[in-house]
Amino acid sequence: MTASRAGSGSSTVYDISVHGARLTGVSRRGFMAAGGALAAVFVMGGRSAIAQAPAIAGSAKSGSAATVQGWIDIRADNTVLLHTGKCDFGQSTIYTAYRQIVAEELCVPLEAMTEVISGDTDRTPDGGGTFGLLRYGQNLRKVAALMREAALELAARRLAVPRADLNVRDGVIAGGGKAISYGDLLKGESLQLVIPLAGDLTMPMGLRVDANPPLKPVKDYAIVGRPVLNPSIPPKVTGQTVWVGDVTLPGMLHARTIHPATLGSVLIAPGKLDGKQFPGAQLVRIGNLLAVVSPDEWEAVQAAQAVAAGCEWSKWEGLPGSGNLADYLRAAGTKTATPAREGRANKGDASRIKTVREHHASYVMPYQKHAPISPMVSLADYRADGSVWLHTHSQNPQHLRRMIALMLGSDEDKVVVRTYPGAGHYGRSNGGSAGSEDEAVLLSRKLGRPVRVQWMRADDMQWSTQSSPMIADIRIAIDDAGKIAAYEASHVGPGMQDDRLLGAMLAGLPVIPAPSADTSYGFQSTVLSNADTWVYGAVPAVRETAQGCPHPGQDSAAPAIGLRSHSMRTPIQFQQNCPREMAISEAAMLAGKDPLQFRLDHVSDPRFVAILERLRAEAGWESRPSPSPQARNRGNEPVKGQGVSIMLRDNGYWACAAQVSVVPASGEVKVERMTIVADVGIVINPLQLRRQIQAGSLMGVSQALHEELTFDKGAVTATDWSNYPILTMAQMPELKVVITDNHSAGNYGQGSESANALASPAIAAAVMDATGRPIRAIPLTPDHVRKAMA
Amino acid sequence: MMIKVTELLEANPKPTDQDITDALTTSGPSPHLCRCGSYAAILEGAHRAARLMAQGTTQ
Repeated sequence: MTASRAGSGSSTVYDISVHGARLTGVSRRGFMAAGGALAAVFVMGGRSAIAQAPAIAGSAKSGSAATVQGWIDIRADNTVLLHTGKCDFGQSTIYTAYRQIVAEELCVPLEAMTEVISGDTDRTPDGGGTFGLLRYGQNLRKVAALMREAALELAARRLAVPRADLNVRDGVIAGGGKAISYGDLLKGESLQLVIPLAGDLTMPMGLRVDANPPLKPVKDYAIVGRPVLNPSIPPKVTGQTVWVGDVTLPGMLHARTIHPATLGSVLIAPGKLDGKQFPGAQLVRIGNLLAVVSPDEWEAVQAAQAVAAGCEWSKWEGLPGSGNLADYLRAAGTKTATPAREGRANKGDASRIKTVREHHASYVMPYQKHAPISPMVSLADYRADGSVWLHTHSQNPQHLRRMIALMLGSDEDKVVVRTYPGAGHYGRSNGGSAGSEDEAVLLSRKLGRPVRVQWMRADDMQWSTQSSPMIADIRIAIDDAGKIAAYEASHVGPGMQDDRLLGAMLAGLPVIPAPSADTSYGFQSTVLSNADTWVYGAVPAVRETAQGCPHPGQDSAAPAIGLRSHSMRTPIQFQQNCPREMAISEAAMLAGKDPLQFRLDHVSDPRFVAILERLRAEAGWESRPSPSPQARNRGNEPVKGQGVSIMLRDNGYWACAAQVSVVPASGEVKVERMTIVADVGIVINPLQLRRQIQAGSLMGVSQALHEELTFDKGAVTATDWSNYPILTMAQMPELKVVITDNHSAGNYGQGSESANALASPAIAAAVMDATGRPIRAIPLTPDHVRKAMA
Repeated sequence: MMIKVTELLEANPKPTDQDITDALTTSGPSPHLCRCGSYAAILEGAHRAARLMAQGTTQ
C-alpha cells in the first residue's frame, strides 16, 4: 500500500492496493468545492493486468466498445449510481435484487441507491445478455465489497485511524472516536477503483471479478432478504413509462416488412404499390428484404398487405412438417458430423446392465415460441455521418451493436443502442436481436430518415427464433429390490441459438457465422450439451449422451434460412429434464413405488431430501404408487391424478407436484393445483422470487397444455394466438409456492428459471397417474391425450 | 387489463376471484392474455385495487 505526495499544494496522487484491486486518482480537495466520486472501473486480463493499468486513467464514462467500465459510482451527495449493461424485462432483478446486493455490501441504506442506468451502449458497460444474472450478482457483490474496502482505506488516511479500528454502517465510516460519511470522504475527489476481470463476456460463464475482498457475513444481512417492491411498476401503472413502442423521432417513417412466403423463398417479383390508393407510401427493396414505408402507420400497414398479396416468391419445401419432427431429428442426429457429448455424471457400464424389469421409451419435445404479447418494434436513425442510433428493447444491446456494425461494415463505436422496456422476451433477444432492429437500420440507411419497423403478429410467429425441439430415448433398468440399476438416455436436437440477423440475411449482407460445431461464439454451437444436471446420485450406472444436429431447413442451400432457435426460459435443460422426469415417473410405476419416495430413494444431496419431504407435506401428496386406484382411460367422467418432478439448476434445488383432472374420452386436462418447493440458497428478495416462481410455473403450465409450433413443408403454420394458444386466466390452477431461505448455502441461486420447466413432467406424470397411460410428448392437448388413451 | 379491471370494479366493487377471472377471460371477444404468467399477481392486484377504491385512496 502506497500513497504518495506528488506536485505541490494539496494535490495528492493515490495508488493503493485493495484486495487485488487498485485505488487510483488525484485528490484536489482544496480546489473543488462540490462534486466528487469514487467510480469502479475494470481492466480485462485478470490480476496480472492490474499493474499495467494507468495510475490516473481518464474519466469513468463508458461507451467505448473496447473497454469495460462502470457499474457502481459512490457520489459526494451520499448517493450511489448503478449502471449495468444488463437489461431488465419486468423481473425487476436490476431494480430490486441488484440494488439490495450493492447496498448490503456497501453498508448504505437501500434509499441511497437512487439511480439505475441499464442497457444503453453509450452509457453502460457490456452486460452480456440476461444469462448468468446469478454470477453477475456475485460479481456485483464483490465489486461493492471492494468499493467499501477502498473507502475504508481512504478513511483510515483521512481520519488518521488504523483501518482495523474502522467500521461502516448506514453510509458512515466510524472508529477511534471519529466518523465521516462516504459523501464527505469523497467531496472534491476524483477517484477510481480499478478492478481486474477474467473470463469472456460472449461465453456462457461470462466475466468474473478476479479479486477476493472480504464479504459481509450473511448473518449480518439487513437489506438482502427484504421484500423490496419493484420501483419500475408504478410508472407503468400510471402511464409514465416510455416503452419502446412510444419512441418517435422527427421525420420518422413507419415501415412494415413484407417477408418471404416460406423460410427459404427468394423474391422473384415484388407486388405493385398503387400510388393512387396509397399516395404517401413507398416500396423499398434491398435484395430479398422488402418493405413499405409511410409517414402514416396505418397506410404502411394497408399498403404492405396489398403489395404482399401481389408478390411472387420462389417455391421452397425444405422442412419436414411438424408432424414428422421426431423422425427428422432421429435421422439428422444419425447423419450429422456434429460430435456427441457424454454426460458429466456418467459412471459404470450402464449399457451392459440388463434386468428383468426395464423401462424403454422415446420422448418428444416440440418447437415452442417465446411468443411475447407484443411483436417486435424498433426505431433506427442512420445519420449522414455514418453513425446509427438504434432504439430497441433488446436484452443484449452490446452484442446487437457488434452485429449491426458487422452488417454495415462500420466501427462498433458508430452504433449506439438505446434500450427501453417492451414485451417480455423469455430469453429470445439475449443474443442481441429479437427481430426487426436490423431491418430498421437498413431501411433508415437507404432512405436517409429515421425508420420505425413494427412486426405484425404473423411476422413474429414466422420469422422470430424459437425454443429448440429435442427427442430422447431412455432406458431404465430396475433391480429386484425396485431400485434403478442403470439409466441410459440419448438426447438428440439442434443447438440453442442462431443469432444471425434476419434482415441482414435477406439483404445479403454480412452476418455472424451460421451455427456450427466449431464456432468461436459459444452460444451458436451445434454441439448439444448435457444441460440437465444429474441428481440421482444413488444410481450405480449412468450413461447420458447429447447429439447435436441442424435445424430443419438449415441444410438447404443459402439464401434459405430455415427454422432458427434461441434460448427460452430454462433452455435445453427443460428439453432434457422433461423426458428424464417423465421416464423416472414411469420407472417408479414399473417398480410399484410411490414416485416421490422413488426419487427420495435415488437422490444423494440432502437439499433434495429436504425439499422432497417438504413437498410431500405441502402438496397433500398421497403416498402410493401410480396409477391411482381410481385410474381410468375411458369415459366422460373426470378422473384425478398426481405427479412430481425435480430439477437442479444454478445452485437452485426445485421440486414440484401437479394435481390434475382428466376426462379420458375428450382428452381434456385441467391442472387443479401446482405446488413448488424451491431452495435457491440465500433469498435476496422473497417477494420478487415468489412472483418469479408463480409466473414461471404458469408459463410452464401453458407450455405443458397448449404450446407447439406447427409448420408445413415450407413455413410456420402457427401464426396467431388462435393456432398458438397460451394459458388463459381461467385455466390458472391453484398455486402454492414454498421458499426455503437457506443461508447455509452461502450463495444466491437463481429464481427466474426452472419453475416453468418443472410443470410439464409433473403434469404428464399426473395424467399417467389418473389414467394409467404414459404421456411421452407435450403439449397435452385434448387431441394428443386422447391418442395416448388408446 | 387495467381498463377491463377498472370497468369491472365500477360495476362490482367487491369482486370474487371468479368475477375477476371471468372479466379477464370470457367477457370480451377474446381473453386478456399474459405471457409472463402473472395471473396470480393480477388477481391480487385487482383485489388490492378494490380495497383501495373502497377506502377512497390510491396508496
